[in-house]
Amino acid sequence: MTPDLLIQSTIIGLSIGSIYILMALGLTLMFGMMHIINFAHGAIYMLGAFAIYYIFSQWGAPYFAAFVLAMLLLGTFGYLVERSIYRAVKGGIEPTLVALLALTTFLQAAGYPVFGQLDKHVPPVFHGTRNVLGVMISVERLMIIPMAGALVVGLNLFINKTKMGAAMRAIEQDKEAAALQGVNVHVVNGLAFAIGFALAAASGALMAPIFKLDPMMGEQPLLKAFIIIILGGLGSIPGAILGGLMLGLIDSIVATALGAEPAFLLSFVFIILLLLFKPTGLFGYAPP
Amino acid sequence: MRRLRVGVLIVLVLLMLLVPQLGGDYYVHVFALVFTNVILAASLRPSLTCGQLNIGHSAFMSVGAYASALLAKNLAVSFEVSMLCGALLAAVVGLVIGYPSLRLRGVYFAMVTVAFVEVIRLIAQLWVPLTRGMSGLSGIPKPNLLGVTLVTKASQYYLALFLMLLTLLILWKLESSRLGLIWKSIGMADNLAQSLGVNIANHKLLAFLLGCFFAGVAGAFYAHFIRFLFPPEFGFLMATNILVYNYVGGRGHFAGPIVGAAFLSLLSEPFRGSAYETIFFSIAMLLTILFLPGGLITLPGKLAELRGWKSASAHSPSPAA
Amino acid sequence: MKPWRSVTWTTLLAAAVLMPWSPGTAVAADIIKFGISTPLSGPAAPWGIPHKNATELIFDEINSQGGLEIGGKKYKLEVVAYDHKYVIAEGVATVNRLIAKDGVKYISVLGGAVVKANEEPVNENGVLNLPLAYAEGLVSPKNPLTFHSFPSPPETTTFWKWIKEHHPQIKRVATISPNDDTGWWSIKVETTFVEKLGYQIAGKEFFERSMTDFNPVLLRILAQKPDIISVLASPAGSVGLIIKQARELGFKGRFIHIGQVDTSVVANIAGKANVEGTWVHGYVQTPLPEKVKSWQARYTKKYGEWNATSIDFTNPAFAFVAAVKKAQSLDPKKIGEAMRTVEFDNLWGKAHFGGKDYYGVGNQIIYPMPFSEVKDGVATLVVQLSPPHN
Repeated sequence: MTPDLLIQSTIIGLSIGSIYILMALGLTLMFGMMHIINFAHGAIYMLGAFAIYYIFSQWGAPYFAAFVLAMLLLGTFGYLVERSIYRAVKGGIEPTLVALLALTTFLQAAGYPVFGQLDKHVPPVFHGTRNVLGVMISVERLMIIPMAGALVVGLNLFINKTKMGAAMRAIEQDKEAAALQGVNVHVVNGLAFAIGFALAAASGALMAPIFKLDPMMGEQPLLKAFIIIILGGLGSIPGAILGGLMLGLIDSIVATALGAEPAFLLSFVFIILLLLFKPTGLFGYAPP
Repeated sequence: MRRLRVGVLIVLVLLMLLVPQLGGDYYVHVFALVFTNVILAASLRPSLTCGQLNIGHSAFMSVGAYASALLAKNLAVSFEVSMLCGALLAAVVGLVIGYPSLRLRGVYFAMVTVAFVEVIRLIAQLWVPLTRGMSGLSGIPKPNLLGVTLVTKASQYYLALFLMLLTLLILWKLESSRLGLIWKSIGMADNLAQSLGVNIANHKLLAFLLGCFFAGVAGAFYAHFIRFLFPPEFGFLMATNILVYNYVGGRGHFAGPIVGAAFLSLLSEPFRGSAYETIFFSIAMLLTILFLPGGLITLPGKLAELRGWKSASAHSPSPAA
Repeated sequence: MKPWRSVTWTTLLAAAVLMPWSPGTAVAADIIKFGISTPLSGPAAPWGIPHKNATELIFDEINSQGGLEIGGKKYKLEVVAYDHKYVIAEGVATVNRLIAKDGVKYISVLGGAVVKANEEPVNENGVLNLPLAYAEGLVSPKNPLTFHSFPSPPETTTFWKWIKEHHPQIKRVATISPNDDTGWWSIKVETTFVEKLGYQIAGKEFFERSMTDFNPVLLRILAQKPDIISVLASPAGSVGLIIKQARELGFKGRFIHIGQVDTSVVANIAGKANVEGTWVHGYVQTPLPEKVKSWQARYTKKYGEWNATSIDFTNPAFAFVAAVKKAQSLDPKKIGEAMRTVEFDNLWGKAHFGGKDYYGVGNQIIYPMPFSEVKDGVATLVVQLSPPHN
């Protein structure tokens, strides 16, 4: 591998990494709050992308309005899922997991008759390419970085500066104590679902113009997001950022040097080794 | 009550013995696969009872399937030997990756098992000279049992039935022994179990390896029955299906995974040919989880309760009258 | 002991659901059932749905004229289609169901791995199969009643001869295709062929079908400075992303796909300008021969959404009808014999089964295959070529 190629693949790796971070954010937030793995994350990512497809590219609304609307719609959906499913199974980790799997299967299977059989696309929002250290990168990919940054900052502000955020942190630390202090656990859980789903929708909405759309499009990102949050430590936002960047670099540099499959295998072997020696991931706290 | 139970079992087994006579080759095929799924679901139960959320069971099925198929195909080993080797290899692989991850708990363990599935799938995919990778492994011989090749579908069906009954018998005996109680106590509160002097790690490992072994058995049968192996078949979807069989059937009783596997495997049959097959399937799954939290095995109880409540409310005015 | 009671319940329920369809649902005397096992849901459905639709449309048209005449008796044609979701176990189960339960003797299966997994059941039961699949060893003397009904890479590579003649400046060829049997075999056939013609292979890459970010793979390929990138066997969505991302990385050369791909779907994803100059097999927008135009009108009228893949997926139905007419028999073996000698019309011209020199058996469909180039965003027919073997 020439030095040139190494630089190029590093830059590509960073751009892939910022996409990964975006995907992992909602997942890690929901784990941190309620210790559930949102298996429906990929399906919501897909719905976010299709929301952009209809609102922006079919009905002609401005992209940013469509983006916000997609987040709101799927955030509401998240709140409803909390009310109808999470509460119905009384928050058990395992039944929630199975119910979310069933929801995913349903959304994916229903996607084909509803959205059509052929791959859909969304026209680019940002045009052109820029030369970054000798690598041509499209502007739409570069824009992911500030967008991901804005979402991370916004999320942090919300969790650390608002009353709702304080309630969420309280529940994260100790559910019973928080409830005794007058925190309404149901409302906060609903909010966590809403935010988690809205973040999944946001990443789907950002990816829609860059990739193609089909009902199964969330599967691969979901697996990637799993790896990232295991790597970074379940529930940790800084962990998700570091994990996302690391995985992006592995995927890019190793794939450029050796091919795509070894890169994929390597990232899994890496995960297993890491978990065996540091089971809580890079930034995780002790498992429950 | 015990006599009733035995009677029901005998009738069931007789019915199953008669399927090839009543149903023809297609149902023979369908039920042979149902039996494979029952073995898979039931073999996951000990591990789940210990409180280990294992979402990686299909990985061990894959190991058993490939090992048995390759032994029979390349070395002409008979089925009983290749199946045992496949199942043992699955247990060994389970030991290698399972041992270090057993100290992980809850969701962490679950996430590592998700990674197992992908690693095993990718190995099957990348090790082309041995597994033929994504070309798929074809030309797997039909099961050759004790020197006799099982040519007809019906004979292969009986083999599946036998393997299923044997597996269930072994697992049932273990679960109703002292071991089963220990597993249950570990699942409920492992600190308590530990304080009572139970070696938790060993018992968890045993439950896990037992599952791997029988997943290997199911894999071996599958390999010689379908006679074509393709790495993605044993992916995330099958792994989650095995877990779902347990929850939809019900976790509270040994019969849970059996009912769950049979119900969900047969559920798609009436919808075949419809493009909405998967949609119906997922709706049924969701409804079961939401309205029967204890799984399908609690359905008769619920119905009886409902009936009892109705008759009770109908009768209640009578004493007053 | 409630749980045990539930076991009985489940069994009774299962029996109640399954028993009404026990065997003996005999085929009515004047109906010919034709089985289709194809992906009707999931990612491969864009192929499976036109497969089913095209067959049904052709059969409908024959039925509306009174049906197919065999030995002075008119038969109606009926499609029995099942969804295999591109899952092997489902593929084996559906073919088994077609043969054992529906009593079907003629089938068409789509998808390389699924067809391979069904090779033995098909041969053992003496069933006539008209598959649509790229898979090594499928057309072979081992499978006497399997007639492959779509042009495979050994046929379509003939286009490279035309490229060598008309575009001699192209020298270095890179390939990128799905990491499975379909991709491997296609690339093996294509690279062997182009190397013989004197081209240099500059990079061979395989990707997981679920991949969406091709940048790392493309960096690897572009470092080898290819003049043209072949995306043989990749589905339209992946081709769109490959082209889009390769152009972003600065690739200026052409793309070629001698499998079959809908360039309008590709152009939607990649951007019109990026697709310009791409060569494809089996997809033409202009000038459309009259027959194809009429097919498009009939297909759109019946199903609403036009799918160009349906043009070539009419082959199994056309071939079956022609061979039955010639054989004047319902015996799969006799139909198979007729299949080897019958000549029939498909939507592109005269077709027959041949390729004995290459495969050792004449069971591959041969017809003048259309190749087009994307000009001003429209797939324009440049040439129709017959395969190198007849």
